[in-house]
Amino acid sequence: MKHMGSANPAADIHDRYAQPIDYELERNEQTLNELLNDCSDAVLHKFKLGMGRKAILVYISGQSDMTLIDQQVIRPLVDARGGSGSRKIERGDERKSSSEAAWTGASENGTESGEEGDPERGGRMRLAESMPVAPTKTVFRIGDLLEEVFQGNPVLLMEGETMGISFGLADWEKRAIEEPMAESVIRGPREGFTETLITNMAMLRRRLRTPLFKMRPITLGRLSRTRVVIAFIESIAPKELVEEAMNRLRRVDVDGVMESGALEEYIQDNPWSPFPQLLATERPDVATAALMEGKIVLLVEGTPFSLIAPTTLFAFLQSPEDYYQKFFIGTTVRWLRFLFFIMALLFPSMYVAVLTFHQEMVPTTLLLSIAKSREDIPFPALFEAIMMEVTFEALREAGVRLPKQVGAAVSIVGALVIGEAATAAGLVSPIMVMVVALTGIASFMIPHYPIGISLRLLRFPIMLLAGIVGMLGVILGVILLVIHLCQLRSFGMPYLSGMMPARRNDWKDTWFRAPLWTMDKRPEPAVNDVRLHSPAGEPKRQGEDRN
Amino acid sequence: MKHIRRFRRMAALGITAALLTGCWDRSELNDLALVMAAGFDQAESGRILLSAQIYVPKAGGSGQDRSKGSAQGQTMVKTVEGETLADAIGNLQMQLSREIFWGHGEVFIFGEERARNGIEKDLNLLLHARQPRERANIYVSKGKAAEILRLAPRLERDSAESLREMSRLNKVPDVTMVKLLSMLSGAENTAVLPYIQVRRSQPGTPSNQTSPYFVGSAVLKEGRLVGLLDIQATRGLLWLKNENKDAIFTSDIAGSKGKVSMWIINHHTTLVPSIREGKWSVDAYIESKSNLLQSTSGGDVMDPEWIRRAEIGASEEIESSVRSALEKAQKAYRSDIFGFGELFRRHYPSQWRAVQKNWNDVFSGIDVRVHVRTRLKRPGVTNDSIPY
Repeated sequence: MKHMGSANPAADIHDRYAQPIDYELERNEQTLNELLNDCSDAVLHKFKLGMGRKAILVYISGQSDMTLIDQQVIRPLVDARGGSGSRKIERGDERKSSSEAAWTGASENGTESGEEGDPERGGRMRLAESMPVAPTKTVFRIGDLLEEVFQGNPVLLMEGETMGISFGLADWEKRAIEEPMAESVIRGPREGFTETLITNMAMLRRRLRTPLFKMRPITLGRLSRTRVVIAFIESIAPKELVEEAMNRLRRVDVDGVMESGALEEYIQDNPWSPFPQLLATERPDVATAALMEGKIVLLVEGTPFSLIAPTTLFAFLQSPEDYYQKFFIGTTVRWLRFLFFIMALLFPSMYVAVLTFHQEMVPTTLLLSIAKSREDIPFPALFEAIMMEVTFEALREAGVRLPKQVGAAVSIVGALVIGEAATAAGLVSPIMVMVVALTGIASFMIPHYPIGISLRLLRFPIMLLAGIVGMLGVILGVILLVIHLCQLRSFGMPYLSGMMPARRNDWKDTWFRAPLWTMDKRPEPAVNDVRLHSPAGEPKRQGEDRN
Repeated sequence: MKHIRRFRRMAALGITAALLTGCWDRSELNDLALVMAAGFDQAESGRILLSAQIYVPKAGGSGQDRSKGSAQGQTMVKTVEGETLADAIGNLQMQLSREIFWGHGEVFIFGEERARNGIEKDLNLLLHARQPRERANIYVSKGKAAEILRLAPRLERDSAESLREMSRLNKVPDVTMVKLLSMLSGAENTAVLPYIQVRRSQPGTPSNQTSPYFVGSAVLKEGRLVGLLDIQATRGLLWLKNENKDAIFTSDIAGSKGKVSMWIINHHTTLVPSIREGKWSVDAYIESKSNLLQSTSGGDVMDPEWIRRAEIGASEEIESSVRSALEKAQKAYRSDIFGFGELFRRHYPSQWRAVQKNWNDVFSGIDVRVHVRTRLKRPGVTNDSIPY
């Protein structure tokens, strides 16, 4: 047990983490006390086993179920008398002779390959098994012990043992499963992911009851030790994709991962792009659907937003409800979204361009009424548009950040200021108000929020271009954007895939929402692309061939 | 980092390049004088008098005030003189605080005198310039074109708008600039333009509160006005040119008193040229279907015999209007306004080439046989006239 001068406490901690659990309980207690010094939430509960053996139960208050610790762990241990029934606690031999090698061989789930048949160890295992607590786990190192403790699992240390037993009694206050706020549907499941990783994992597992559905864990963040899970379906998701995701995650070396959005920044392909390259969703049904298309889903502890990779531009324009309603409704709604997607990006720019450069493009009567309403406006159209758009963005932001009650006030005041007062004061023309309002609605029509923000941002440079060179500028902006989108990739898959490597099969789910029974192949990243779908309509009579 | 630096350099270049061009052709809407219509009149010694109807945007202010703005007086008319049209436009610009914008000028009117002197010089500019629309309507006015522009019709925004809407209703030749050009550059080198006149205003209202209306059409030959067709002849012309649409016409009924009015729902004219033994002739097959609108004859409108007589009456009416158009064009103006020249050029190219030089003489001698077939399809929702 080295004591470093501790110029660097982090390094010191790192050393101690590798330390094995000592044979002597007191030593362990001392180590833990030093490590958990000033951690007022950590509890070292000392007590004596039934046979008078000393033991310590380490846990974090508020992270474990106290009642269960009392009833299922401490009481049976205190009550236990040697030599009776399954509750019997076998003492280990007086001497512990196992070599250090045993510790290094210890794997996470506590099975030690090298020590099979060791009676002493068998005794310990029996103790673990005999506890009326479902999941138990043995740990051999201080680091592993603390990891368990911080996850909320109380760990039992006993005199004369070089291991601790962790009990899966983690239980803390969590938010109940609620309807997702950001992606609501009229028809479709109402449950959304929560901040708790295991709950989210369970939600996915409930939808994919197959051993092919894998969830690989990885812990990220030096301080936060956030658990992240890569979920995928083994036979469908490409192996390289899973490996790539694993590698990218391993590269992430940060203090903490607070939200999947922060993680996204580290693992996306092009951090300079304004477009989101991973699809964040809080809907388990969306995540499941993505899994079944051969994508991977990253679940992050502490946030309800999971990340789907790879993703395409079109995924952001799709709502799960497209699939739950009839296909022609889904298709029509998608077209509407395409239209408004373009509008959210270009409408103010087009207005500015047409009004300052191409007046002949407006129908005469409309132009006259615009001319009439703009007659007293002191600002050029470009300035007017930028002013209004900025105001709108400010109002939106204010409305989002403020508490709900105040938010309503903001929107009322905003509507009054923009809609009535500004036009009455002759600062903006009523038509400009309409343009801004329509653009706002258009950007809210996009079902996924992040791409809506991107569009809002991109609107401004295009507006400037429109103000400088008119429609030419708008087209220039669009061309630059398309070039960028064409070279953008999400986990190696083209961002426009689904449209751009032109494949008829993929078009079924981008330009349209084809009837489900016609989508018999899985889209782009899937390895095994044959989906076995039943034919449409009533079952065919025998002998009749399906064509 | 290299990536970022290159991006920065490119962005800086791009922005400066964009700024260098500046906004040279940028123009705010409230810096434009929107010309809604223009009139061209003859001035002294071959000069031109350009009148432009310019939209005056009355500030709408807030939503409440807008209803107060009256429909009248939304346009003003500026008249300037110039050597040529371009010169006149230059002079007009000198008098205006806003840049002239032709992009919405959809009506051009030639004064009768200007038209008699030839419209080609003025048309030349309208076709060359970038802003005037090819789809603008062109008219010839009785008297000064400026007078038409000064009118403030009560029903429409301005007189230009009321003219355009009337043209659209299609009871007169609907001639746009591009159509005029194709007529003038055709084999016949003639054109027909709608001929308009100011209607006398109603007693008690300001003298300009009235609208122009159509009194016939003007026949142009080699770009000069050579004569006029009255309404009946114009209608005949439209029948022959297959441009008559949903017009109401009233005719006698063969063998009985009273009139019958029909509403044409569908019609088709086929012109078949032929040259037999050196004689040039055209067979015009005019077929039309109509609905009965009104009958003052008292007959049973379901009676096939009555229907037959009504149809004969209608056919005679159509034929007589066609005849009057032919009469004027062939005898009085010797101008092929029906497109017969093109017809012969297609069917008899060699013969056509031989007479091309003196086509007008040949045209005057063409024998036109008119075959009219009128069908009265639907008698309407009652079968009998009211007994009395």
